[in-house]
Amino acid sequence: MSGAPTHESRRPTDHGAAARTAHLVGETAARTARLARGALLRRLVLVLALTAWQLGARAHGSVYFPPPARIARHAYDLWFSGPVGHAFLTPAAVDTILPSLGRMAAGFVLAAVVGVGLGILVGRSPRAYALCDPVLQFARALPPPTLVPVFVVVFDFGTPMQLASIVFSAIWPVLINTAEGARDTDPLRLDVAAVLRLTAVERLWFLLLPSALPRIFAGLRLSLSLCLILMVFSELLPGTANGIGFALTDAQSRSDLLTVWAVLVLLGALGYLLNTGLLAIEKRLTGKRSHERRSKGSHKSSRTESRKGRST
Amino acid sequence: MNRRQELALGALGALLALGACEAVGRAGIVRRSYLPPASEVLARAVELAGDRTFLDDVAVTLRAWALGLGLACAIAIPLGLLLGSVPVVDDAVRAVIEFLRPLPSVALIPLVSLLLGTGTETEVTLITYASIWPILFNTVYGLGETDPLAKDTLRTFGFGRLSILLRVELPATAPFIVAGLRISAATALVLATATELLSGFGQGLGIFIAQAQLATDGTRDVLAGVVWAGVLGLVINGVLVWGERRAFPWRAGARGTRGATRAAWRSPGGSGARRGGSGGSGPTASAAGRRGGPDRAGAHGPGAAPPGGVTGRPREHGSGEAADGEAPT
Repeated sequence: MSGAPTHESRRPTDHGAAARTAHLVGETAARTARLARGALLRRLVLVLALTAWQLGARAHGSVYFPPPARIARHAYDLWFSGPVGHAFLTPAAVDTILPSLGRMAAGFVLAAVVGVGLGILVGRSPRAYALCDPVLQFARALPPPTLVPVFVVVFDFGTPMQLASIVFSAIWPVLINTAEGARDTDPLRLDVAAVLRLTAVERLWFLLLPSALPRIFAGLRLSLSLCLILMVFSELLPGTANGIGFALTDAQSRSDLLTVWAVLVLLGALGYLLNTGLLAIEKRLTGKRSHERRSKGSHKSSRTESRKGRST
Repeated sequence: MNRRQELALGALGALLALGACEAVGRAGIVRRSYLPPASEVLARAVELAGDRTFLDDVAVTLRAWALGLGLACAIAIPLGLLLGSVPVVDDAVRAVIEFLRPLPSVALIPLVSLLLGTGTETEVTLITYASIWPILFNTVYGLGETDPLAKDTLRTFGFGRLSILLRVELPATAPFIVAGLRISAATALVLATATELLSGFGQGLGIFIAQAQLATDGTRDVLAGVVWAGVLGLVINGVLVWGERRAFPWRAGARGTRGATRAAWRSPGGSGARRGGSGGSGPTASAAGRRGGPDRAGAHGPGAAPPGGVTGRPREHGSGEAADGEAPT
């Protein structure tokens, strides 16, 4: 939108259709070339950076920055060199990765379900919203790690404490975003729903949830990253017996830098995969309602337009 | 419902929450020493305000917080401007950034402590690392949202690349940068407390909590420390929101005041205007105006962030959108 006018004005309009087509073709080709160059450049720089690290680490022989190939090899040996029957997972991986992922998944699902439910309830009534607003703001302003010691005392070490930490930190973004999404439901549609005498369930399913969905997912994305953080943090504390965070502190106490790096790579990959997965779900769920996402569409296109405007 | 009623309801809600905590504490569901009633915790928190050593702890944490955040600004804003205005650099660095960003920075605590020891350097490094991302992504995003007409105008008048950057793009991006800064401020506090909680000795709010946890009957102190951490988070956020409104009044105007929002609450005609205005919480006012105009019907999308800035909460939504998915802290 923003870049469109300049774009339009640069297009030659008085050369006839053939020239315009030729120009368009040329422009498309140029854009494709730029995209291809960008993609190539990204890969190239990544490869170059990794190579430089590899060579530098080898030449320097530093314990603190092992070469990436060794880290990858170590991660493979540690976790992914198991038998085919166990999906290539080694027993160590089963002990480390699966408990962490399980806790995180449980915490995330719990936070999402409770957060969306409460959020819809709170967001539906302006009164309830005003009532809960200060408490929610405070709960959200709390840095989540500070609460972990409280849960340690109340629940003792172990899975309940970790689950409580994850849920209690991850619930607020979902709750607040859902409440705001539900509050922003088009009043006209609510009136229509009233005229059609939709039941509460129907209203929830056909009206409130769809219109709050983009906001809910924005909250879920934040919650997911908080879940990952709290999962690691709660496992870093003494008294944990398994999990990725435990592997990390264990390696730290043994000054096993290679494992520390391997765990970091694993966590980075996990974070990337989880985020990508959530984005894919979001796309699937909200893609159907393209009419409601139009502002997002224009948002995106305006960004690409302005980029284009800049590059031409 | 007017502002006063809202405030009254909010106060009532806070009191109810406190009452619930008090009841849980007194009812003996959990042991009294495990979960002391809210009144005792609050009394202790107030008492701590006069405690010299505790205030020193808070000061140490805040210093690391400010230092880390300042460093993050010094790195992220120039880098963001560079990435946003030179596509080749953007293409080149993007892969490395996408590689680093999904990593939960709390996981870096063990590595950085091994590298730098458990001291202020570690804390500041981690805070800086975690705070860079929101500022960086918001800066790049904001640059992309700059009005091309204004840039072209200056270009037509013969201004060079750098002066366009300084005269048009930087001012237009400033609101985005500050919004990113606000997210980073919260992230920085998380990292500061997390690092201190794990390091366990020295000075700092997190260390106060960690040590109170080890003491017998220390939960009251732990909770009082948590209350302080929450108050710090609220104050930091409040100050930044206030500063944002003072520095960029046109954005506050574009969003409409809270009262206006409320007036439009039930009227279908007003809702469009509200959304058109509320879109301004994400992008700059001019962009909001342009987008809000023709696109009101589609305002359910993320472009229409709620009047979040007005009510003083960080705009997770807008930020998430701006950064293409919030950076894990």
